[in-house]
Amino acid sequence: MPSIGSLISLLPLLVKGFGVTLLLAGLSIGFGTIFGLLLGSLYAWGSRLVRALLFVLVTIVRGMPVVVQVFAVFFVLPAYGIKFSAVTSAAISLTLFASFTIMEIVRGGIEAVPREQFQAALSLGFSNVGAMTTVVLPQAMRSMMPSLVNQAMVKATSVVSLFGVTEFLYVAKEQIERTLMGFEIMAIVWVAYTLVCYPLTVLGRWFEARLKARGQTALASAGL
Amino acid sequence: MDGYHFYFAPIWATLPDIYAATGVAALVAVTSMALALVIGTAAALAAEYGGRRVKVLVAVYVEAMRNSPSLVKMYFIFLGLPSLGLFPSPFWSGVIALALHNGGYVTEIVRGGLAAVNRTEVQAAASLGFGWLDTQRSIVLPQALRYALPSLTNVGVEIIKDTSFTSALAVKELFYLMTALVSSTLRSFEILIVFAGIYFVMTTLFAVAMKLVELRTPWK
Repeated sequence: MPSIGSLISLLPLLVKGFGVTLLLAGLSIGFGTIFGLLLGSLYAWGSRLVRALLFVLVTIVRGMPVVVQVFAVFFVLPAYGIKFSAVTSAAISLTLFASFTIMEIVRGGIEAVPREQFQAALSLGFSNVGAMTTVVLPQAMRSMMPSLVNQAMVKATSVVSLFGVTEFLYVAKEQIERTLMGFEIMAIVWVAYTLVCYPLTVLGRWFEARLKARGQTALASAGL
Repeated sequence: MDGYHFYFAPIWATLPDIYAATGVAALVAVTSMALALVIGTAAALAAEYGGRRVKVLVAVYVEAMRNSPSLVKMYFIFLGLPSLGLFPSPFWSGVIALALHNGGYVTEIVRGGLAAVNRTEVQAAASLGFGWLDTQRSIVLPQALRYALPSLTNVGVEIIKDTSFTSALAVKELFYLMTALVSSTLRSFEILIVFAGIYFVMTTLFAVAMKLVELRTPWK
């Protein structure tokens, strides 16, 4: 067995890698939520053409593995002279992935609110935008919450390790190749991911229970 | 500037490799799905009928799987187990990691299916002289799995897409070939179109096949 001391000496590197993972997760969840809300509203309320366009787009994107989506940003864009650093490319591709995942959740949430609510708001003198933002969206939000506070995005960040981005898993693999402490390092990695994701799972369940108490059911989770 | 000129010839030249890689991806997917279904069903039955300790054990397993990426389990098996003197092959490391990871989801889904089966059917079976195993095999599980089928199909689709992770262990599946072709042909856009298309066809075929099973199963 390798000494505990050599394992501890690796911790600063692992913590730094974990920081990159959390940064990527934060960026993709933040921007993904903004774009997802916009796209989801468009998907639910847009003209027939917009809806058809988004349907085709989401079908294509969600039919690809995440690694293939990341591949598009890392290998296809540079071929057209669009170049970013590895971390920026990772953030962009993960944001794309998050946006489309959240878009589906938002659309489902909006469509779960009866249309009559929107019409009733209009007849009470609300503007289109007012009716959407003060009547429909708050209710939609409630049924969206269990799927929105999902650990899927944190887990998805791990795929960019395949593209040489020095996040948690990449650093861990590098250190395993150097020290051969595969079992110990991977156990640490496993526990660290769980420590971040488990609270999110519990929070999601809390939102789901609250929804159930109101006699509503959660939307089917869009991303696993 | 005139438009982009598609040039697929160097990719078609590797068609035998593409066939082989598709076969490997399909094999990884099918094996992982079968194992995940067995693991998930066993764990769900254990949680349903087992004692308190078994229930806790299943809950720990499910959370350990759900709350970390499947890549972590892949590296744990492939790079971690050699420390204990076990040396699993890349293929089996990938398959077992995918099976264990998705088995966690299958457990939850099958538990939902088991809960949807009416308890009176179990009592009726008992009064007809069915043993536990027969009751499960011919009365409870067929209904539970039928209830669970749409969700199980979703997990299956995820598994097909997640076979791409096994390229991290140098399993020569589709994504592994994709990255190899980028450096040898430099036609990344064409590669994207072809391989995204293959994944799309595989997931769609699977989803349609499961939908047919859904439509054709008589019980509801």
